[in-house]
Amino acid sequence: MKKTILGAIAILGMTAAAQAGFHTGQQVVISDPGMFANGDLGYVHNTPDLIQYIGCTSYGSSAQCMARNLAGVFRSCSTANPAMLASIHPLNGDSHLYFGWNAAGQCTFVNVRNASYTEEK
Amino acid sequence: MARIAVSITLAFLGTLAAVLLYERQAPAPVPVAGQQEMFERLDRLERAIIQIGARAQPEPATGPAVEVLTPPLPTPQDDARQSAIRTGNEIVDRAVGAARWTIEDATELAAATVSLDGTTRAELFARVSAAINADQLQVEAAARRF
Repeated sequence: MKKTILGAIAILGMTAAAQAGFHTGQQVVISDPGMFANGDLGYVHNTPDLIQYIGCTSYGSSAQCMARNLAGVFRSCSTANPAMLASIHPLNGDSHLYFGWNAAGQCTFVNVRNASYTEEK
Repeated sequence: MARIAVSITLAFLGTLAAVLLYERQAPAPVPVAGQQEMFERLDRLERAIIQIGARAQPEPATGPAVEVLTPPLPTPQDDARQSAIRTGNEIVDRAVGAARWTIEDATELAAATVSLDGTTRAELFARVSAAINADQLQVEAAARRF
């Protein structure tokens, strides 16, 4: 009985350790006045709604980024800028994606953050 | 401007010379004092007119020959590129006209532009993005991953 209690405490401790550290998650945010969108891919993937979406498609020498918020607003941009393509390259399912666009539909910036505090997919 | 001035001068001098020549050829019943000097002046004037006229003639071109550049003939690659761009624009135009972006449009555009360089391809996809961001295109769920 004593061993069982100790084992349960150990398992609880290990679980707590696995969940330790600062965590944050952000749904898809779209700003039309600011002409940008951002969100955490893992967090958005895990949300129960079937509406939100954010990510990029890379074709090697060009790419498109897109996002859809909870209200159903869809925004996207396209780029062949080498620096932006280099930013998109390390994008993964746990990344934070932040991109902007102009009136011509071109990406004005693409930022990708891979950090310990973003929610895993 | 200088050429016009030379032309006016030449015309004036020419008229003057003609008048003086006429007077020279006309019989002068009464010798005029200093007439010989006038004739000499007239000769000098004629020579001056000839020299000025010679200077006013355009000099033949002596510079290097101008190379006439002809544009290179379009290659089959150029034709294929232009055809891909035209097709891509037609796909976007058609979708904007229908106010809908479907998975078929997305697939068709991706296939039509696969041979294009990144910049040109991005420009075509940017047209789609611009129309979407301006709420001119309703994006079908399946086409969101274009």
